[in-house]
Amino acid sequence: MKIMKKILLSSVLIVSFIGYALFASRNQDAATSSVAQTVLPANTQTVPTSSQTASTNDGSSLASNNQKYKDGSYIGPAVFNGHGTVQVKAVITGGKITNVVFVQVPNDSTSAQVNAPAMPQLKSEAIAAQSAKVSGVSGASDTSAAFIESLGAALAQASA
Amino acid sequence: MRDTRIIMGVPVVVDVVGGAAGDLERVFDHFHAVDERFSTYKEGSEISRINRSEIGPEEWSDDMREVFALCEQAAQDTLGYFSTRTPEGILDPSGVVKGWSIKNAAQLVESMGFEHFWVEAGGDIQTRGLSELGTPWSVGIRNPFGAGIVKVVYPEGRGIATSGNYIRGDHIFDPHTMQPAISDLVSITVLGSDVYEADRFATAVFAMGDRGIVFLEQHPDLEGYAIYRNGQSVMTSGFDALTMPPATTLCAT
Repeated sequence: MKIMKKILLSSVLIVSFIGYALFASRNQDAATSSVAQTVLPANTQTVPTSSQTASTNDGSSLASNNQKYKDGSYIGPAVFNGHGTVQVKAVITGGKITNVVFVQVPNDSTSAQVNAPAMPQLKSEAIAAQSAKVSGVSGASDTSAAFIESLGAALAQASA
Repeated sequence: MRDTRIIMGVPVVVDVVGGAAGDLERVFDHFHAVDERFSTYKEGSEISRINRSEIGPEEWSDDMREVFALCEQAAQDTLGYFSTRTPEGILDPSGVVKGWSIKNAAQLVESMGFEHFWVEAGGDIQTRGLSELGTPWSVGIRNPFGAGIVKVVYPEGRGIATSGNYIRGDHIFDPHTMQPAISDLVSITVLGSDVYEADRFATAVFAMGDRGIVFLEQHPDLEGYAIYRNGQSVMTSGFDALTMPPATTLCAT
């Protein structure tokens, strides 16, 4: 009887764990799928991957707003940076660069549970897309050669 | 007036309410000068010459000395998580230079007599006053997983900086182990009393991984918003208040 109890208890634990893992992974898929949008506006032009690359890797000679660009959105090639791909879109308004945004992000996605530190005053929530208009955006910046290459090609399109 | 240039390898945005093209040029010139001195990508920069041992500490410029003193301070203030040396042994003060140069640019704009502006380099931002529309400046936090923003913040004169690995992979190293910081942290946004404070802590707290947001909570002058690989975010207790639109003090007429 003792052995039966142990087997029963182990089985319950295993089934519970599997059930929780399935539940947890289902919730994660929901969370990531709701934010993994890369919606491009209708006037976007894509650039073939064999575009010219920037001649320097510091970006300072990449763009001068003394040069006139054609209005529109120009997407540079997706450039591999060793971890994933970097692809940028340059937005030209009134002949000048008004925005530079990232189109793709490197994705080594192995989702894992977060062990949020146990401090009750820290608030936790799932991230959600915001539709509000803002003055600008704060995000991690990129000075990598891949960024500069993709941006250089996008701007070359805008000068063509 | 607003303009964007690519300098120091990032988009530099200068928006001066009531400013003219010449005013903006002075600000961009400042960033070009910083780039010439501090870019590790430029062979002839002062930092590259220092790294090739072509000039010794007695010959450093005042700006270089100042930046390295600030780097020392940053290392102390962040329990060593802020580091001036890359794993390859290259001296790279860029963790301090970006915020320092934006802060100096903001001071330049103020010295020119302007009270309402936005100065930014690659997502690190210093604002003052109100936008052209007379409304508080608003900053979106980029969605690290794709397009769009996931949070709106009203910095009200605070500086804001975001550090993350969603673009360069693991370019943030834990200086204690000289290995990429392993953690589920994908992006962390820091708000400080000015952009220099926000920027110098942003890289360091990212290297702290899961403990980064705790460090920010324990620091009285900093607020933060951390995003993890599974789409969960954790914020410091004072952060929520910064997401609420402040009452506009200027009346629309």
